[in-house]
Amino acid sequence: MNRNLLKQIWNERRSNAFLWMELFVVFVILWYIVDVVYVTLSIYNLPMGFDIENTYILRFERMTSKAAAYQPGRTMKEDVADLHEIVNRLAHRPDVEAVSLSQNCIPYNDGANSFSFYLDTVPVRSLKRWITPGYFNVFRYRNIDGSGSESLAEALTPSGMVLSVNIADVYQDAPWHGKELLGRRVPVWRNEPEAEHLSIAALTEPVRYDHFTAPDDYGSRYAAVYLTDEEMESLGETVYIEVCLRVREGQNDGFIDRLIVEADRQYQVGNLYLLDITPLSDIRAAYETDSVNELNTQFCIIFFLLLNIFLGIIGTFWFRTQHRRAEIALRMALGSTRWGICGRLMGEGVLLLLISAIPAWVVAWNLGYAELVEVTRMPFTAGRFAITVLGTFILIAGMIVIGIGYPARRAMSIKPAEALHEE
Amino acid sequence: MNTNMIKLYFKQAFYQLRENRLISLVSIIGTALAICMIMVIVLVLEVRITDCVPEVNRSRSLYMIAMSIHQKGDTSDKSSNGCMSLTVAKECFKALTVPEAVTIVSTGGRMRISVPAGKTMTVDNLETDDAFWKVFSFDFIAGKPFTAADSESGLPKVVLSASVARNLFGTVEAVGRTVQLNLADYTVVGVVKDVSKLAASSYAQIWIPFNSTEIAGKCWYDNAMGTFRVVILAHSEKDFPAIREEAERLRQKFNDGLQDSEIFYRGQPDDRFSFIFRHWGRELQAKEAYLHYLLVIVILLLVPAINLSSMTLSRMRKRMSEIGVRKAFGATANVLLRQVFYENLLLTLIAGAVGMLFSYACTFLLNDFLFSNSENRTQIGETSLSADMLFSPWIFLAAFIFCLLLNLLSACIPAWRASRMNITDALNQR
Repeated sequence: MNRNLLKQIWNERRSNAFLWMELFVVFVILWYIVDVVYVTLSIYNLPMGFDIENTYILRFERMTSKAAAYQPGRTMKEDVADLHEIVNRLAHRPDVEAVSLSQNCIPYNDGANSFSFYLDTVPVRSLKRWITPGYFNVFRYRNIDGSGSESLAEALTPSGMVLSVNIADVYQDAPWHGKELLGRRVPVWRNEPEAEHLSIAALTEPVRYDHFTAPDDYGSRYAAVYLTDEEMESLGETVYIEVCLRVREGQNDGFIDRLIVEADRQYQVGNLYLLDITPLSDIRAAYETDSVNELNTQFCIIFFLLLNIFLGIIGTFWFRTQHRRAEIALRMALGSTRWGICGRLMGEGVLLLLISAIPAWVVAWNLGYAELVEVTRMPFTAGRFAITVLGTFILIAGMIVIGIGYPARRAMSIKPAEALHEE
Repeated sequence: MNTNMIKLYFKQAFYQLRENRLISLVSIIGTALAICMIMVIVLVLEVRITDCVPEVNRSRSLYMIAMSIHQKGDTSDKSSNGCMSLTVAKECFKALTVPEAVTIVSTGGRMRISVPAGKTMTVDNLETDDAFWKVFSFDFIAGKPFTAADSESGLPKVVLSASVARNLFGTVEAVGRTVQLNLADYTVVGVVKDVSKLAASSYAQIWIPFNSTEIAGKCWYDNAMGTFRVVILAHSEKDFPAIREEAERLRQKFNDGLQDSEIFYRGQPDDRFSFIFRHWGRELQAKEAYLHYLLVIVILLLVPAINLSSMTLSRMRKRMSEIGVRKAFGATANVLLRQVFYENLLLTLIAGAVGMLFSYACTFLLNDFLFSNSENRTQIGETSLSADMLFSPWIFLAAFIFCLLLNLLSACIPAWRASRMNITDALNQR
């Protein structure tokens, strides 16, 4: 039966040439996009290492001399004290679970500071999380020993930092990796005896920068250092300091409105006033917009290609079944069942796909081998190739089966006697 | 070629389309989808490039969104990149004599606006000067912009967007009333129609003179870097080279006054087209952008073209005897070529019109996906579309050209086959 089919495909090579070419071109393009989408989605679904549900960022700004309530002559030291007072009041709200202060390091922030320290002679670079201990509770970082975030908040002190457990993984020469780092005392910024030393007080599970960042990326390693009052004062403006808070489970509805109503009375201290409050989910949506749009574009192109395959198939096979009325009728007259006819047509389509898919696989493999595909976030492996090639094949085969369905149904309803009589 | 023939071809093509409904439908959907996707790409670009309220002078504007600074004579890649300080904006751009107007605009941020003992809300603001109202053309519902004198002496005057006015006062008749911006009193001098976030250089919800706040003091690196951008309005596009030349002179003059550092612009000021491909303080990557668009459009044209070719060819096979007869009566290959081309054109044009409609529907239905980006997503307003953004003769011309291209691609092979057909073979349906 298969040989017979092959022969038939060969005999109709003229009209099959277009279909073959289309399947070949589409297979390669579709595979390329399926591969990118596969990489993106498998990274997207990895654990993030933190949780932004029910969290908000607030910014407090210093009013200018033009404001009526302005108190002249207040120093930055007093402003920081005022900010602490505000944080204190926020923390005592019944609907607030945790509050923290930080600088340039909220999740999904559009920018970050870097940090470096030395393991023996090996310099380790990572993101800097410049925070007060509450940060771990607000964003629910997880200690690798399974004790949650509270133990991390206790571990972070001006002399003890907290690291993500994967911080040294990319540095193969480093003397310690993973859990071995715990308790070490290391020089920061400069590898000199008189440099500032910090001890490694706790390790957390890896924290990714956003849903599109790979776990071994630079953005997925961090060192958390204590943000002291003196350092806050040196920033010069309280608006650069992020106030983050987590609202208790079930109290999230209308939180912003409740807070705004009380803002002027409760949270205006000294020269500071509440400028803005934003849910972290909005920050995430904004930060990931470009990546999400790119993914959606890829889905659109996949849809476009598949629809074209569908249209191409339905068109070609429409003519084909019309053309072969006599042949089909004859087959039926000689004992083929209606489903046999349908199966034969489907078989013809899938076989045609197979014939064009084989050279497409060669092209695809070479594209991957030459690293012309997305390899920065995930290496090109045989496993990845197998999954994406199979996925592409199934997608196109699905379209072929649906596309042949309608012409095949019509072919099945051919009345052998009539068709042969026409002949 | 007389018009009667073309009419006849179209008639015949129309008959063919009705004869084979499924195939016609399939061909039209395939082509329409391709045209739709291409036109969505074109429309998204169009919205960002062509003149529309309030950015009605885009075609004769030049933009400076970021500058760079490094140590004098530094040949390494090291530089600080970002917006400029008020000093640079004034000395290097405001001082230009060739352009019609130059406006200095802050990068924008959020402000808290409230009515004493009334409503409070957070809004997007721009801090600018009086020239802003000349470079951009806002629809004032009430009042008027702040004046040169207001701007110069930093009087606390504010222009509100209609939705902010309505939210605070319940009406757009807000001129003369007092609002508090970051707790300081401002007088409302004008109310304008809401501005879409797609007007990226002029969008805000409130506009105030930059001299009325302390923003000018936010500068660093030899007072060169800060929080401002510049838009230059030329008398006409022809003045661009002269303006760039003068800007270069001013830049050198400014650098002469700096001790160790020098500022540079990486090819800016940009015209509108370069502006939309300019990313934060980096070299312009327009070439990559062009290539990217080209590749996508080729795929979008090629795949349906193969489809259409195959279907047209199948249809030709059914009409073999007709072609044979025509040939026997003396039709030349050229005539047959033309016939296939015109017949196909009808189909592509119908599909093009359908695709065009789809693409307009897409711009509204998929607004968020098509027009939001990391930059405008943090802003509060909306990426609303207006008719003057979407309907321009260029769009229809572009759609027609793409239809023609698709037609050429898909009719090529079937036409060639038909013209080369052997008469006896054709008549015998072989």
